[in-house]
Amino acid sequence: MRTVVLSDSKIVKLLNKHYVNVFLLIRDLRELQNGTKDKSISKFANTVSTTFDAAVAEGVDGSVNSFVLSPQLELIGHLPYEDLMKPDEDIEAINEAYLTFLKDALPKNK
Amino acid sequence: MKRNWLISTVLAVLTFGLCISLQSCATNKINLRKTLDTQETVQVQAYWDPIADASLGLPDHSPKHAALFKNLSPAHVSREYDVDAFKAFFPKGSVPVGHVWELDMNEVLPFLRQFHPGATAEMHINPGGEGAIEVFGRRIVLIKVGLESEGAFACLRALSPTHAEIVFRIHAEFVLDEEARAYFTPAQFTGRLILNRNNGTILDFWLYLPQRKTNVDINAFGGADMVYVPRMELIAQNAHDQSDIVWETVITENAAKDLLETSFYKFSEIERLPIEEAVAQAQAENRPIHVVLTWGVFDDESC
Repeated sequence: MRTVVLSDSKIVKLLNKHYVNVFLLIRDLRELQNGTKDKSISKFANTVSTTFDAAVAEGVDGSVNSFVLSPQLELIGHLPYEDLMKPDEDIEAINEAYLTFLKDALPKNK
Repeated sequence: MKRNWLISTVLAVLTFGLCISLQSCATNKINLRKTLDTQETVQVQAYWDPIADASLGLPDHSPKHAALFKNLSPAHVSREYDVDAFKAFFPKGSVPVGHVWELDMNEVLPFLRQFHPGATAEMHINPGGEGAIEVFGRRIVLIKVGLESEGAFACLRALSPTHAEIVFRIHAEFVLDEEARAYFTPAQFTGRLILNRNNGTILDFWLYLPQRKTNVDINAFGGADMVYVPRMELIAQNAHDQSDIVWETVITENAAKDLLETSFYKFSEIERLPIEEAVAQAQAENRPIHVVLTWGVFDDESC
């Protein structure tokens, strides 16, 4: 993911212009859930972990997952990275799919 | 007469100003290679601690795995280098503070071979490596992410009339056993070199594996794991040089670190925030939050 979608110039530009970006480790998410007294942070952690848990329970690969949250910390979108890695899919198609995921999430924030 | 005196004074002031300006240029942009005293030698000590923790227990998976990973130690605990060897970390020409340049891995590898003769700049690509981890009581199959970013970069971090400090970052790995497909891939090596510009000697050289919960990726017989090695470093200090350095031009260690990281990873251009700040900013600007949730870190080679 690091060398594909997150290194694509169009995606980097979109993320910097329209999004606030957070990179989070799975182990830090669990620590965050148990360790924070801040209501906003707790809601952030719960939204991400609830979605992640449910997806993993259904067999989704847990290695890399992307989420879009509203400023009110509600889920707008979720994309497991494995969904992009279809056989015979080239890098351009993967980047385009990720760009669509990000663009589609933007109007849902309004 | 008075006019001549005035002209002389103005010329003197201009000449003095030009000298100051040239001196300033000389300290702000410098060709470090020309400063080195090539007659000197430097003694470098190596330290390599055993693996202290493993996410998936690969080193203990079988006696064969243990044989590969349990007895790692420096090939040469102490080694003497010609000072010329340290040119590996120097820029080819004159550079200002904050400048980043690529290092020639062929010149860097002899240092890494003090740890292990299998040091290589060509990092294996590991698309098929899989592991499993218990997260929230569930077993997750993990697909290794990202292709390795090879190479090495350095940055002139600080300069004074008497000293120069170079910081660097190296991505490389150690082939422990080719047949077993056994690799030991440090997250990165980073470090610094301080040159005494007055006498052309190396005042300080430190190349080390940074601390992190997991800081090495290991592979063997098709399996993969992320492990923690407390200490892996090369150190050389000139005990006779006790200079107190007052830097004249300098960038912070964090700024230099960021410059080096960006040289390896395009994704570093993405502006990221800690969660607390991200939530506050998203709410203040009504912007959505993009979260990337991963098993391993993205900003080094440990995953």
